[in-house]
Formats: sequence, structure tokens, C-alpha cells
Amino acid sequence: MHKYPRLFLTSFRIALCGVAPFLCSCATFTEPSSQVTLQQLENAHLAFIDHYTCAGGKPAAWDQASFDSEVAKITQQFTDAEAAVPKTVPARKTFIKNSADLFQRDAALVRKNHCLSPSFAANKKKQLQQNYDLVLKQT
Amino acid sequence: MSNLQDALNQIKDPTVADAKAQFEQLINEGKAASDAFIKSSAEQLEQWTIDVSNGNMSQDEFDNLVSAQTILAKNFVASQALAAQERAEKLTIKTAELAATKIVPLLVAL
Repeated sequence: MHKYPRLFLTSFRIALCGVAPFLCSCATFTEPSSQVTLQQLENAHLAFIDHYTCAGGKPAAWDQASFDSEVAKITQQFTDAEAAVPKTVPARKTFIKNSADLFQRDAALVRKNHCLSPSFAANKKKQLQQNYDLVLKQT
Repeated sequence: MSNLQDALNQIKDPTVADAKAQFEQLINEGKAASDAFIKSSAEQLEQWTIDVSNGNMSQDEFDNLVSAQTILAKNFVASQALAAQERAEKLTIKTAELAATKIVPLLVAL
């Protein structure tokens, strides 16, 4: 038995009070932060589509270096986001991996054609938004 | 071209009559589904087909959308109960494959 049970209980309560806010902050921090990450990935992909939509049906002047730099930057965002997801959330990891794959396919299409038709851009944006909305609603 | 029927009517080749009818039936079945993903997939696929028939999208672009939707659909199908998987696959992946292989190449060639 503890020599000073009342003192022990008081210490335990103080410790609990100290830990509880931390645990609560973890619970509320993790979800919103991963949602923000997904939102950032979605926005980056949507902005890429907007950037490479043919203006007036014609491609803008092609800048290979700028394109490569933009693709590398967004690819890194996906890589970082995937790496940040713990193994305990495999569905989220798979979602980000698939989304990165979709981005690479769009980048390949732009690399080939230098711009995207306005109809394709509208359809692609709708597809991406629905895809992200579905996951964001689940979290 | 304002609707799928008009788009499909442009294809006169009698050898794909069955594929056209099957595609239209699958799209209608998908649009009537209660599941949001199946419904949305069918609506999008219909719109993409109309856009190709109007000359507003290339085959490349159509194929990109279909391959992306197939990746999403595979995840969706896997998340369904075993009994519902076959129907979900038919109304998403198989319908998109039918459009990509039998319908859209003919629309692009018109």
C-alpha cells in the first residue's frame, strides 16, 4: 500500500490534469491538419489544371523549365503528404498515392499537348473535387 | 449535341448497335443508382461522351478521365460489400471500358 494515499491521489490528479489537455490537443490537431494537407493538394492540382487550360482554344507560349519546376514542386507536395501519413491510416495513404498518380497522368497529358481543352479542364476539376470531397467528408 | 442519345445516333455502324444500346442502358442504370459514387460516375461518363461527340475533347483527354475514374472506381468497388461489388464494377469500370473501346473511338473518327 502507498504510505500517503491522499498525496498519491492528488499527484495523480495533477498529472492527469497536465496530460489531458495535451491528449485533447493531439486529437483536435491531427484531423484538421490532415484535412488542411488534403485541401492543399487539391488546390495545387486544381491550380495546375487552370494554369494549363488552353486560352481561347490555343496553347500559351510553352516554357519547359517553368512546367518542369511546377510539376516537381507539386510532386514533392504529394510525396511529403504521403510520408506524413502514419501507417495506421492506410486508406489515407492509398488516397494520397492515387491522387499523386492522377496528377502525374495530367502532367503527362500537358507535357504532350502543352495545354488542356476547356471541356477537359472542367471535367477534370469536377472529378478531382468529387474525389477529394468524398474523402474530406469521411474524416 | 445536347444529350447522349444524340451523340450515339451519330454512330451509324451497325456492328456496334449492341454496344451502343448496352452503353446507354448502363449509363441510365448508373444515373438511377442510389449510391453517390456510381451515380456521379455515370453522369460524368455521359458528359465526357457528349463532349467528345461535340469535338470539345480529344480521345487522349477522354482516356485520361476514364483511367483516372477507373483508379477511383477500383478503390470504391473494393470498399463495397462482396455482394455489391459485381454491380458496382459493372456500372463504373466496365461501363467506362465499353465507352473507351467501342463508343468513343467511333465518335472521334466521325
